[in-house]
Amino acid sequence: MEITLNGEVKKVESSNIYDLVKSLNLDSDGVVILHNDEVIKKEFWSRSNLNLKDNVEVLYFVSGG
Amino acid sequence: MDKLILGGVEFKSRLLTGTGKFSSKDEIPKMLKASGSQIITMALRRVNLNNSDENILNYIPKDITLLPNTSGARNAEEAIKIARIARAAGCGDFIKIEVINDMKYLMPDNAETIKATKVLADEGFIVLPYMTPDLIAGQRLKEAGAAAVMPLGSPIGSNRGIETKAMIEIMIENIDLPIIVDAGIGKPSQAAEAMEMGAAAVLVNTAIACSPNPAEMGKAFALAVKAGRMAYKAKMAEESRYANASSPLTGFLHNN
Amino acid sequence: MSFYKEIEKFKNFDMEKYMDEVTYEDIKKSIRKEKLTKFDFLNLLSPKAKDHLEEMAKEAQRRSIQQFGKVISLYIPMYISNYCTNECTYCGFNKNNKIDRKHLKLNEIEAEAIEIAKTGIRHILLLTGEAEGLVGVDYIEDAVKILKKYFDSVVIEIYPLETEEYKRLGKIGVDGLTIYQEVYEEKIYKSVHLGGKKADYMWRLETPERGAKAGLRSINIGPLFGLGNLVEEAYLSGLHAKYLTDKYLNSEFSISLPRINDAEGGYKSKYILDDASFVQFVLAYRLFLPKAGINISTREIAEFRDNLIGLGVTKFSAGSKTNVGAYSDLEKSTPQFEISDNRSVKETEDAIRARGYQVVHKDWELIV
Repeated sequence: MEITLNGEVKKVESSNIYDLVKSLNLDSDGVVILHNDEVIKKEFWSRSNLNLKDNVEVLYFVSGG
Repeated sequence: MDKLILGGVEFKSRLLTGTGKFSSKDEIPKMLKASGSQIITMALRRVNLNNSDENILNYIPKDITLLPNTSGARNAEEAIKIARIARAAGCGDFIKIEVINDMKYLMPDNAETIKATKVLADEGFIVLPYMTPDLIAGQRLKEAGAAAVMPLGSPIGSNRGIETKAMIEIMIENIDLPIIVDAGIGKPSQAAEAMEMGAAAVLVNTAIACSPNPAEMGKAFALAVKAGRMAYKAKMAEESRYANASSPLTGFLHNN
Repeated sequence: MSFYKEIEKFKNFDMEKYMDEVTYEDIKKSIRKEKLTKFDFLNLLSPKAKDHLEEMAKEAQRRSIQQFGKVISLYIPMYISNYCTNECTYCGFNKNNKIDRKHLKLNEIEAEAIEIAKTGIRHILLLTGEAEGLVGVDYIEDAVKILKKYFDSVVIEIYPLETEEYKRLGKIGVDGLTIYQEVYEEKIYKSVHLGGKKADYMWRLETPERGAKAGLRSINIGPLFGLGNLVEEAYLSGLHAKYLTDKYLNSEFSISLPRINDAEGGYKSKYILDDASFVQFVLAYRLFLPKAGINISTREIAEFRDNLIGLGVTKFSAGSKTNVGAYSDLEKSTPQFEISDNRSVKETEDAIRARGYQVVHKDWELIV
């Protein structure tokens, strides 16, 4: 289904955040997930179901001053 | 002990550092150990999904206080959003507000910073706003609930030292909050200078990260900060000896 | 003579008008300045500056500590002869005063030196009256040679000498000279110096320069407050010190603030320098002359002297006696002026230390 992922419209297979993170091959420890503008804690990823036109931001902490 | 107190939390070190611009992230933990810095900044960004890079938090020891910044925010609303994300991600309550619209000099927007400070302070964040030195803006930030105020010494990355000295001195003299000089400090002597002026702490990123030996440079800065602070306190001790009488040096002329 | 030009300029200066026009802003600016001009100095000497003494004091203290550290140097005066052919109306040794005259022989000078040396003081000020023939340069030279055995630094406060004579004494160990103009205002000078060589105003005025030309290292000047208009005298003496400091780089100049006190002869001064003005002058000198020493004698009472310690003074006399032969308790003679601070050297040292200042006995030694 189509969702907006990091600002881009994308077709994804995953049905929830947990699966999505896995499918992107991301280090689950390092990322911060925003699902429709809400931060989803890691323990709730598998319960966060994705729907058409959802907005997902995958963020992490990077170097900065 | 002469501790730095921010938002009720005590710190031994008055040197804040940043994670930006290191040639290798492995240098970061070495630098933290050598310098004794207890607070370090980082930014929040979108992961590059095609080529993900390692999370900076992996390089920061667990006992270091994280100071995420709101870099990228162009207005108060964006800064607030980033701050909430950082906290929800488990970074703790500290937040450095950085609202920059100017891409040329990276000058912060004091007005938007004040707005963001009010909202975030009310939500229980320990707010450290980065700002252009300005007595009035500093007072407003205090009223808005900032835990400290972080005026720039000179433009970010310029290493030009404390060009805004006169303005910062005025702020130190008149605002009852820790003043942390952030940006532009290029040499340990400049860090010492800031501390001698009465700054509560300094934040140094570029000068340490871009040095050929960040750990050594971090240590040098830490020593400079200590030296500057000691000098400041020694001077204050002398002045407080005379703080008692209203005209202590010439009071004897009026005693008869 | 060049400094006389300044005095002449001053004769045409409307001091009253200037003082009327000085504002608090002017005074505040003058206190803050790094390098003061003579007009800044005037501002600080103005009556209106009395409301700013504390501010002046803080700045004076800061500059003094920066320049000199927290240190007071001590010295002791030794009078070896009070015979005098001058007729200064204000002085105890005035030729016409019926006083006990005494003139020490060389062995008596040595006895005095031995006594004084016991106090630990290493800098001595040698004083005489002016009596040609009796107190000649040979006598002075012999006296200095003796004193050099017991003290590291000998400064003379005697009658004005020629440059060559200063050179001669410099060679055998004299470090410096003290010479007070007494009063810079020419008319008053003539009115209080009625006879003897001292009546020669220009000869006296040019003395510090002859000493500097001769290479003497430390030269102390000052007016005798009470003879002339107080602010004028403070101003001209400050200008004199500045002129000398700028012109003679090889010498260190210092200034004293003797206030007239009761002496034999009963001079009653028209101008009384009160304590507040005294302090004001000290502070003004300090700010105008950042490198000049400021020398306070035992003419001032103990408590007052001690209060001056943080305000820019650098040198104190201690354990002083101004009568000839006093230290080894020879036959009593008449003092030149009344001592107000009667403390011993040790008591004076303790008082200085109590103020957080260090006592220096020796800051100079000439390796002749």
